[in-house]
Order: sequence, then C-alpha cells, then structure tokens
Amino acid sequence: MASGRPASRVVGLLGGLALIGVLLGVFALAFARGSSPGPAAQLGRQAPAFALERLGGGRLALDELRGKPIILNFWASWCLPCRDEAPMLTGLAADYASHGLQVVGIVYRDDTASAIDFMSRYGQTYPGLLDPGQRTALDYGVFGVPETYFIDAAGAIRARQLGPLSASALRSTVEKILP
Amino acid sequence: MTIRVPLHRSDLALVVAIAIVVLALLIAIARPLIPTLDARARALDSELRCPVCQGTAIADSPAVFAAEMRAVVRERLAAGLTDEQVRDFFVERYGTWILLAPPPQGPQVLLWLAPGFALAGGALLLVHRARRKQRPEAVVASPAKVSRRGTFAIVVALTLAVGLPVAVVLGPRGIGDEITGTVALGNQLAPSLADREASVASDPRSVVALVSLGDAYVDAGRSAEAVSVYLRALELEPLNVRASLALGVILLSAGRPAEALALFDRLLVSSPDQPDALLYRALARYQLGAPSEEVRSDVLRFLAVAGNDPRRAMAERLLDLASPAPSG
Repeated sequence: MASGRPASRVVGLLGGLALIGVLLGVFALAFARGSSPGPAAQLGRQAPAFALERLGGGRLALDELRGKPIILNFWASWCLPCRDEAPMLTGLAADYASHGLQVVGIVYRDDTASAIDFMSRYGQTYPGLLDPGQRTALDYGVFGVPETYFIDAAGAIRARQLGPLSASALRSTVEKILP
Repeated sequence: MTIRVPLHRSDLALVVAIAIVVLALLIAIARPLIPTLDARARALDSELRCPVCQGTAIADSPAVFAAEMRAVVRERLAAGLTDEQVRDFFVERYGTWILLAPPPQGPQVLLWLAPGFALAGGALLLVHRARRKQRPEAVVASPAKVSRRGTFAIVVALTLAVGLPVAVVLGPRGIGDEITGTVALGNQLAPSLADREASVASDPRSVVALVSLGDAYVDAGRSAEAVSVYLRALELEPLNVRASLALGVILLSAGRPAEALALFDRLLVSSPDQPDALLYRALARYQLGAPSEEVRSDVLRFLAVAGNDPRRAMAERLLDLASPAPSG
C-alpha cells in the first residue's frame, strides 16, 4: 500500500498535467480560429424596412416597392469602386425593367451636395436615398461601401455582396431574385 | 450518534481556499446585475466590434459609425431592452462576428466547464479524505505528507478555478485586438489616415507613402489635399502610374478633363496598354467633345486589354455614347 501511493500521485500529477494540456490545446484552437465577418448573417431574412428622403426631393419607403425584386446598393461619392458600379446598376435597371426590377441606392456617410453631384456625373438614374446617422446601413449590417443586397419580390434578402461587384457577378446574382 | 471528524490544518486551508474562490465567482456573477444604464452601455460598447475598423470595440473607436452604434446601444437600453436583447440586435445584423467575445461553442465549452469540474474534484477529494480519517487503520501517511498533499490539492484547485476563467475572459479580447484580415470591406480597412500622414512625415520623399496618403485623402473626401499629395508624388516620380491615375480621376470628377487628359496622355506614352489610363482617357476625351473615333479607339483598346474588368459594361456604354450619330 505504501508503495502504491507515490505511483498514484504520479498518475494523478500526470492526469492533471494532461487535463491542463487538453484545455490549453482547446484554448489555442479557439484563439487561432479567430472569427471573420460573413455575408451569411442577413441571408433569408426579411429586408429591414426603411422610409428615407430622396436626393432631389420626396421620400421612398421599402413598402412602396413591395412585390418587386430590389437591388439595394449602399454607396458614397468618395468610394472609388462605386463610380464603376453606378453606371453598371443604371444599365441593369434599364435592362430588367420589364421584370419589375427596382434598383435603389442608399448614401453612406456623405454630404448631400457631393451625392447629387455623383449621381449626375456617373449617370445614376435610380433613386438615391439619404440615410442620416447611417441607421438603415446599421439595420442591414453594412460593413463599408460598396455593399449590395439582392431582395426578392417577397421581401427576403437572397444575396449580399460585400465590396465591389463585377458586371458578370451582378447579372448572375440578379437572376436569384427575378420572379 | 454523531461522528466527529477531526479536521487537519491542510483540510481547513482547502476549505478556506474553495470558499474564497466560490465567493469570488459569486461576486463576479452578481456584479453585472447592479450597474447603472450608463455602466451597462459602456460594458456593451466594449463587447461590440466596430464593423468599419480592425478588431476594435466600438468603445475604443473614433469612427463615426462606431459613435452611431454607441448611440443605438444607449437608445435601446433606455427603451428598456436587456443587455442580451441589445446584443441580439447587433448579432441579427452582423452575426456573432460582431461580438468581440462570442459565446463559447463546440470545444470551447470545455473551458467554461473546467472550473466547475475543478471545484467538484476538490470537494470529492475533501470528502474522500474525511472518510478515510474515520478509519484510523487507513491513516498511513505521515502528517508532513498529508500537509504536502493538501497544499498540492489547493494549488491545483486554485490554478484551475481561477486561472481558466481569467484566461477565457481575457483570451477572446486578445483575438479582437488582432488584425484578422478577412474580406475586403471597401476602403476602410487600410491603415488610418493619421498613420499615413505620419509615414509621409517621417519619409517625405517616399512616393509609395505619398500615394497611399493621397488615397486616404480621396477616401476621406478631402480631394484638394489628395491633389497636392499626388502632385508631390509625381514631382518625385513623374510617371508613377497610381498617382497619375488617381490624380486624373480626381480632375475628371472635378470637371477638369483637359488637365486629366494631359496626365493620361503622358502615362500612355510610357505604358501604352495601361487599361485604366485608356478607359479614363476615353472618358476625358468624351467629356471634352473629342472626335468619336478617338474615344472609341481608347475604349476598344481598353476592352481588348482589360480582360474581366468590372468596368467593361461602363466602357461598352461609353462606346454606345460615342457612336457617330446616324446621319439623316
């Protein structure tokens, strides 16, 4: 019995060390994995409602567009890729008008004059909406601009693009929301 | 009949140590229930990640968006929502990514359960020892040995019970402070404007630093400062492609296509197939009312060299616009 005790202490000590090792391993794993933002958070959700002032006067509410597929694009005049996206989105809105597609732009952290200037300069003919305090951007979980949401006729978010869209990606994604 | 269990000094020490740990945990659990609205808001601010920054809590971020998020936290708490509901509001929109310390999932749960196991183990050990002491024949170990084992048990229990919760609480904060470099989120993930100003100040003749500062000014909507910085870069390196292009685009946006055209012309002499210069020169020419063949030739060359450039659609539109008007 006296000889068994030191052995059991060694076993206990090794067991304790092994437990600590396992826990440290789990911890290191969790630490290394980190976390990354993804577009998944919003997919399938109903698009958050908004009613915002339009650049150039009037208001537009998401409810008014109910039943139509919508591309919602967050942009700013200081955003370089947005300069390429605006003409592409204008072209897309024209091409798919017969499908009822509605493109809506929401201005992100910009002043009204620059935004109006941007719209005329880059041929943006779809509505541009002001978002004071970026509350709508926050409601959609926007990370930065450009960022684009594809909303189907039932009002559900079907796709989301963080960052600039290529013309081909834009056309293939819009198919997801057409009736 | 009562059995009196003689307690050893090391057992007493173990009991005291466990009592202290339990008390500390109870205080830690109870504390968040007490604070005021402002303290709750500040606590939430430090839990929520700023979406337009790199791994910073909204509490520590100077970004306007972070300030808006702080305002939303306060509004929602003032409206009577619980901390959990406020957290859920952001998680619904951004996923659990928005939490700097997301709730444990998968194997991480083990870490959270470890202190409980350690406490239960300590208690079992105590009961086991007390029972053994009821049978005098079982007492073989010398008092010195018992005392050493008691100390060992205390050290292990304390390390596990206190060390692990501390590691779990502090660990994820550490992750949050790291640059995870995940997806391109627009123009806001680059080094801050102040960083770039500092690097230009430390090396005013670095073209790379100047161009990078110019880009930051463009992003911040400070075009005039961007222009002066790009001009400095071009003085040092007249054919720098990025500075020429960026400056040309600003001039185009500012309704100064003639100056932009001069820049693109110069750039295209040295790099005849630079796609951006081709596209923007076409735009400049178009804005200046140049003959449609000149605009079209630039656009066609752009389309030939640009591959899958996202601006192809824009170029094609420009091509349509620059079509010679049908006669008649």
